[in-house]
Amino acid sequence: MSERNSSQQTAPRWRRRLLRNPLAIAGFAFIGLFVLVAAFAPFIAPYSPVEQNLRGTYVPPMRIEFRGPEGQPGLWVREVSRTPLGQLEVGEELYPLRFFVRGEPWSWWGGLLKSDLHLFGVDGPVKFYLLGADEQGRDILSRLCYGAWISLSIGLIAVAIGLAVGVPVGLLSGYYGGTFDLLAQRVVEVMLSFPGILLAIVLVATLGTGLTNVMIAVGIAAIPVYARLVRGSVLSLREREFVEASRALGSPDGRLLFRHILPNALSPIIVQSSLQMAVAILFAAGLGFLGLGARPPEPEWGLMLARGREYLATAPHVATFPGLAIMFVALGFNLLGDALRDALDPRRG
Amino acid sequence: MRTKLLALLALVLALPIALGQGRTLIIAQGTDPTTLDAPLATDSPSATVVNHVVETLFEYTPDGKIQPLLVERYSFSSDRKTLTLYLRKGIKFHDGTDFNAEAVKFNLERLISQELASAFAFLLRGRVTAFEVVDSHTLRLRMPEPFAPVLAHLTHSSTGIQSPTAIRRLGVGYRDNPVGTGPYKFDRWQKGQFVELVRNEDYWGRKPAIERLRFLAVPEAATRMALVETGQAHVAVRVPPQDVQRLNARPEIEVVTTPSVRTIFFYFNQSKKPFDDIRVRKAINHAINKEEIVKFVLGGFGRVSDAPISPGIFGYTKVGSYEYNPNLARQLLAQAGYTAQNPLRITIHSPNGRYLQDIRVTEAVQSQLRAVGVQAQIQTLEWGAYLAATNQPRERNEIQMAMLGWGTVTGDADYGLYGLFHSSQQAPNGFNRGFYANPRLDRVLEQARVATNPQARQQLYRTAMQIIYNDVPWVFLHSEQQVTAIRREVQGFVVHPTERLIASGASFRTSAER
Repeated sequence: MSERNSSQQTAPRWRRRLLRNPLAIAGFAFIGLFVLVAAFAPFIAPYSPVEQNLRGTYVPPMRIEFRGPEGQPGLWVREVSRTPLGQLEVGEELYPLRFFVRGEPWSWWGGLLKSDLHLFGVDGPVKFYLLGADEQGRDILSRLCYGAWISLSIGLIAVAIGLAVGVPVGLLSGYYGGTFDLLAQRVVEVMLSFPGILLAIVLVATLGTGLTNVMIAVGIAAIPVYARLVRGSVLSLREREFVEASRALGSPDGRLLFRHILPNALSPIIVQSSLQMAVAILFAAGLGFLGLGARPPEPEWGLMLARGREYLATAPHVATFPGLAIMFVALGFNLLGDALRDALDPRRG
Repeated sequence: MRTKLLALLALVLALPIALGQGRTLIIAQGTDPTTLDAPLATDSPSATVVNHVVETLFEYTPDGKIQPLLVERYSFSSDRKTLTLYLRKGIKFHDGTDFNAEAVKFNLERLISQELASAFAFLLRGRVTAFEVVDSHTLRLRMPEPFAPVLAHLTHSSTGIQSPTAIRRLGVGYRDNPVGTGPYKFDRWQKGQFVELVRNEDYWGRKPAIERLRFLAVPEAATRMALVETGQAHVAVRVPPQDVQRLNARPEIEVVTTPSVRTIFFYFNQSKKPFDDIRVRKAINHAINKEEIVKFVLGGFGRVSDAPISPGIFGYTKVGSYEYNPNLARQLLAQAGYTAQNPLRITIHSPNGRYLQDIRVTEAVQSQLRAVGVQAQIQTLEWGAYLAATNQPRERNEIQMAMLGWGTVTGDADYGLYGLFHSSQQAPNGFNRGFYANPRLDRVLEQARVATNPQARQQLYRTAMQIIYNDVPWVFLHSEQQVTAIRREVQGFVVHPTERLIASGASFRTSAER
């Protein structure tokens, strides 16, 4: 009986186990929402993430009225603006809030998707800040939406870099051993001896700030984690009977590695990737917070949080929402990673 | 048991009062000093510390008068080409060296020397050509032509008189260890954190009441405010506008507003593209809505600039401000060859924490520029590195457009105009960091230095500022107001219009007085 057959039989079982875990569902929900928002950021965001409105600086989240001027039901908002002295002024007039409205045109996915449709908007010369505005009068909701895209791309690219370098290094290192293993593992140990965030900071300091460099730095910081993980799996797998059998039949190394060993080492890699997404997003936000990541006015969550901190006493919402966004996305990936680990654990069920 | 608890409670409650009566006054500045050697200190946070240690011959009082400090009296010859200074007697530097005419001569000659390369050499260089020691406490300054702003310039912190012995002994290390005649002595400097000064027990004048001063470097406004709110600092500079009301509502804190002679601007590096083109410089000026910035970013704690210097300075007249006109800005950019397909891309350098809301102002500018199709990137640097980057010689200067502020701290236009716009003052010699040059302006500024008639000088400065306005070397932004939070247990603390903080006359109120 080959190992591949048995893993095919267990596939539905782990899936069932995953879907029965409420934490996994919560993780899926957070991640699903996050990916959806990132994928359709300009549609969900009512405004541009960088457009300033100095007359609406750090306006708190706005209230929605459910009765119109003549008492008719619906969603209505008032104009809220700030006087030079810092007081809030709430307008008298009510403007209707509508869904699927035409607004600022946008293009997304590198120009593949072009439209001027937005999920919601105000019918009138008034801006509606669902989650409030920041110190430049920029809509926090819109910034969070576009920021989701930034976080998602950082996470995906960083994990991709980690996979692309860490997995081959781990495979070769574990399979062949010898001098290569010795050298590669010493490098990995040096990298692992630094806390990940410190390694990322050092790398960004060397490469220079900016989003691209953050992706590269966070990706590099993930390499040793994968290299170590994959090497461990390979070390145990290469001694197993099905590998021995295939080798006895004269399979070349490449076939052994990619047909027999790698597929069986996949589950820890998948679990690690989910956790690593959370780590990458947190690192990127951390770097942004320290001023080493995204540059203003990019709507990167960590940067938004850092800016909002200065207004904690007067306008707590500016820091709260980016903080919550980071928390929920990191939590989502962590929950999913944990649930995947439980579900894929061969010792269970 | 209960009495014990009560006693503990009383102790805890009494603690803040006891702390408030500490003998150290803690001042939270936005940045760390860059140097403590008087002629090399080019920023107010450095000058503020230096001025407690090192004194000048004359002082510029908070109400705008020039009066003798280290000199007892002075006299001009009838042709106004000789200034005789009669120095105060019996003063010693903190290291025991005598304060005398030789020491003053040493310091002033050092200021204008080529080796020191002080950016403030222009204050006297070429204008005062000989320093003659008449006797131990009398010094004569010889000038080839009358030099109207000489007394004003001798109030400037860079002309401070420091111990010649210490300078000779310490060499380059002197900048970390200043020795003067002032009310406070230098104690220690934890770079990046604080400078601490200790009272000079042998001070010649009125001895300060507070024993120690500690100047903290706290770049982030929110942290500065938290420090003063929790009593970990007594004074915090640059209260962000959004915090003014909240702090004022607290009984233990007073928010003090003081006018400032500081003008905030972006200068253009004219030595390279794209700002060698006057149309681009004008376009940027028209694209920026200065009124909105002053109103909403500064919360009204400022004034839109209508001249390169601010009102209250001798020589000021209104010359105007480039009106906010995004359409005109777009047209000018198009004429210069920048369109939607080929947008102007620039990097703006900005300090963070040095000036009131500085990074916010830059972000607002970035956003307003985007509205006319200019793609600007913001680059911030730590203050010391920032000043160094702006002061690179032409070939190595990477700056395109950068924010700086200039306080005309002598109260005389010569200081605000000659040092910033005369072509001889291009970086790294002086403060003309955008490599601006106009021979006609040079001539007018030179004439204004030697003219003796105040009305004639006023007229010359008007002409000079007109030329500057037309050549657009800057984005003329605003002049600041200083908004300072001071805890009420401190009295007699002075915020000078020149942005110096003066703690020499400050004292702690006893709890009974409060």
